[in-house]
Amino acid sequence: MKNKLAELRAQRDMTQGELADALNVSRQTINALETGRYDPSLPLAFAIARLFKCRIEDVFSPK
Amino acid sequence: MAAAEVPVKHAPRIYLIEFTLVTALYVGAVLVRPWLVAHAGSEPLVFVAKVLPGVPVWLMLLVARRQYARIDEYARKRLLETITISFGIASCAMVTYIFLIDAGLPKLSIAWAWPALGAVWLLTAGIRGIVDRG
Repeated sequence: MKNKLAELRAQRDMTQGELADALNVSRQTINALETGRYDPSLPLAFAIARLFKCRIEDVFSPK
Repeated sequence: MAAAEVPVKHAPRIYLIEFTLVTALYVGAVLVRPWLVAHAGSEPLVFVAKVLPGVPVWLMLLVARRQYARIDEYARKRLLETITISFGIASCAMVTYIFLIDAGLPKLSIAWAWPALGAVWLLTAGIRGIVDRG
């Protein structure tokens, strides 16, 4: 899956650490998501979409 | 507070504290064991004194379980993958070693199994950590 996590985070001027704290995951997890090394579970994907006030498909899309 | 409710960023520190405490309990139990066995008196108490260090070992399992509940989904995936890879490497090494003994290598005590498994685990986790960082 592709994602716009880095883009959305940059728009809100957040660091990886701040985003990790907001989602209660580690900074390594945010890094793995942004670099495409890890695809999140549905609950985490929903939490990300909720945090950025958008739909899941606005953040994630098939490759 | 339940382990899963702790913020993920505090998980490594809490794990270190819990693991240190349980390790200290284990070392304490091993050190005090000979004295307890010598002074226990009755047969059931001698038995309890002899098996006492086994209790903190089971607590270590509880500590590991609590840490598993605290870490996030990506860390869980990495942990399980690391355990699987380590187990595979250790199994291959064990089978190879059996043939190496036959070829003339010295036979080691079974007590080396745990340090060897631990070393493989650390090595695998270290390599994975470096690869993931890159």
